[in-house]
Amino acid sequence: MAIERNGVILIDEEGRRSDGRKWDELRPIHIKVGVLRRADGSALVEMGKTKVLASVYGPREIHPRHLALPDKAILRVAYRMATFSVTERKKPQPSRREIELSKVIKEALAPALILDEFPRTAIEVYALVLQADGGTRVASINAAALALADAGIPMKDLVTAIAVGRIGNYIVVDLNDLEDKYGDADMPIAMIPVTDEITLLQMDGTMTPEQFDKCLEAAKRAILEIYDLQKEALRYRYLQIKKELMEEQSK
Amino acid sequence: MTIYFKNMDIVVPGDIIARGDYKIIEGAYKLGDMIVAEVIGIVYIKDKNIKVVPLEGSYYIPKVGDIIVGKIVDYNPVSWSVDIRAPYLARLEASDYLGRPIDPSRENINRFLDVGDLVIAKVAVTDRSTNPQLVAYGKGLGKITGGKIVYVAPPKIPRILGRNQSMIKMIRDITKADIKVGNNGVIWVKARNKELEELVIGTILKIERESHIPGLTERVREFLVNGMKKLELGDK
Repeated sequence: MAIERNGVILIDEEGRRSDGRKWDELRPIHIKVGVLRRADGSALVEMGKTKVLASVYGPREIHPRHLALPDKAILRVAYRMATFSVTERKKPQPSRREIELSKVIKEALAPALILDEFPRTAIEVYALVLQADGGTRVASINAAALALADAGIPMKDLVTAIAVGRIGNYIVVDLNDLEDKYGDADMPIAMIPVTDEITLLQMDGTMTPEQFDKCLEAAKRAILEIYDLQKEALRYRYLQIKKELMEEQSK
Repeated sequence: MTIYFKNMDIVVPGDIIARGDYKIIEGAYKLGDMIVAEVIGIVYIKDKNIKVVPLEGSYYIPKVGDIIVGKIVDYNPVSWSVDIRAPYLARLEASDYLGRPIDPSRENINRFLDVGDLVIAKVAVTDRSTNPQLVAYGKGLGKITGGKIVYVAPPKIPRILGRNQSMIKMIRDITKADIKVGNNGVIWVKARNKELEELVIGTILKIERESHIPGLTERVREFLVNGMKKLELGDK
């Protein structure tokens, strides 16, 4: 049975999604770490058509000074969408949604960071959505975690996130914009894989407890898949330098 | 007691290095019986000791006894404020630079050091709640003039110095340059001519880039010797 909403076929007769994926299939993911020279740490994450560029500065001095904590660093996160990231030009002024997402991303990242090594300082994370096609907050978390690691900030683990949801009776993983808009439920989840802690869990729409459990299980599987890609991307740069050297020497 | 990585492998945050009774020197933490890496770095496993030497980090956290290269950014009648590339501004008392007490009503301290000047100093006092204090009086410390400055990531400084300062000694011996290495990732280089300074800076940046690949000393020696040969050819 095909599922159609607002003239869009979300699930076709064969159970394929609007972009041809299976229910638990992720969009193609491309990750590059260390893309910005002037930032202390940076990463570019592409999940399908969603592209997020994250940069990290710090630990550095806090301004205004009174915000400083005597025992640990504060984490500042700014999630922003570029004016050209959506079909209709987004006003550059930070919207209510952007400010709220900055807060939830901060709270998703903070438990993984070891902030008490840098008292009286600030660590600043900027996540810029270059192109939006659903799942920008989870892509931002994935990118920000990599940028933090690239900046050499000590952390318990990377943070990995994915959005799962429901369309009719189907559970779907890694929602795109259409599924996000017209689906019946979507649920972004962020996890610290090594400790199995969930640091972000939001839900929009309705689900039965069984559907929720199934979603959570699917999300965990997807998170482990992305987690491996994240780690591989972090190592890649160093292995690349090694490879270049080997080639140089063999000449 | 299981180890999941080989000695000198690259680890990233969240990598489980080992399980069991190991001692952590730095760069990792314990989670249950697991030893987990907390930074991108190279893991060194020796007997029961595990150490992760970081590869990234452009910040410098001052430690007592570190030699740093700092820039004067401000002064008041009795002390200077020094930018040491840390999240905290350091203070250098006039008497800790001049080696004698100073009467601020008679002497103006910007005669000795002005805003923008560079000093080599030692971290005398620092802790989590107060900004570091410096001393710039003594052998090898004080104001520096001329030469060039190169910035590197502070975690790479031990590699640039080498074991027992062997690496930096080799660079000095081959190029006859005057090099002062600050633990804060600022390196000052003064050599006979500009080309030689460029060679030293190139060498330092090469070490920074390739510090994680074994056989560094030999590669650096080769790079320097080749560079020197080219320069000598240019002279003739």
